[in-house]
Amino acid sequence: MTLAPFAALESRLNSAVQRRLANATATHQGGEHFGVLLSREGQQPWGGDTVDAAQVTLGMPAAQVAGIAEGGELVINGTTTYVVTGPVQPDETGWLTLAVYPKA
Amino acid sequence: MLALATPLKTRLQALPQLTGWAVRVGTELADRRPVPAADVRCSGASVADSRTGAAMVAPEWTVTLVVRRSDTAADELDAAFAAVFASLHAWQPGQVAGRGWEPLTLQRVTEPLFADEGLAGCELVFSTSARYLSGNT
Repeated sequence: MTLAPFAALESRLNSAVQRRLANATATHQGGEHFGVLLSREGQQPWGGDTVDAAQVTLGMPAAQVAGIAEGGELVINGTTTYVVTGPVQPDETGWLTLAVYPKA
Repeated sequence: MLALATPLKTRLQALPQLTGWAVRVGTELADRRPVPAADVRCSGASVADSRTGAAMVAPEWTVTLVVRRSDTAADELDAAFAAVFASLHAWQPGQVAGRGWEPLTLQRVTEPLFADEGLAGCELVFSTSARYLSGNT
């Protein structure tokens, strides 16, 4: 019996979420494709309707993008390269949500 | 007061350093997705001198410069900043909508923002003033 049964459940849950809910695929540094949860919503970074921008986030198990840092790149659906911005901190279950933006 | 929006926009659109930029004002309906962009809007006003029958109204006009985050973003913003400052600081709008406006002066610059949405930008805040008469004494 494992000494941390809930941690094992969390890991299984993350795997299940990725397997069942992924709505895009990603590759990191030319590696294998893996599923990600891509979320996109409108934002106004300067407030007051100054600029209409999109906030894109990608969710995945942190182990699949080991070593990634701000400025790192992920290719989504084999077509669009996104750049990581902001913190790279997985939660206590190992799930990582990255803020990204399309590379110009 | 808001009548200054159009001459400010026209002046910025004429800058060669802003060629290819979307220049827009806060009061118009516009596609606000394109960048680089310069957004011009009135961000309030102070009343420097208010007496019976007259007031000196000093509106602030904010120019927000926004570019895509990249290795050249800082240089792009720097060039735009210098061009906007040179164009608007000490520029006198003169008579606009029947009111004489004093020369604009740069009041402050906000901390540059590097947004998670892949944008970078900063704001220049200018001020001017004009005398308003109420007709009541």
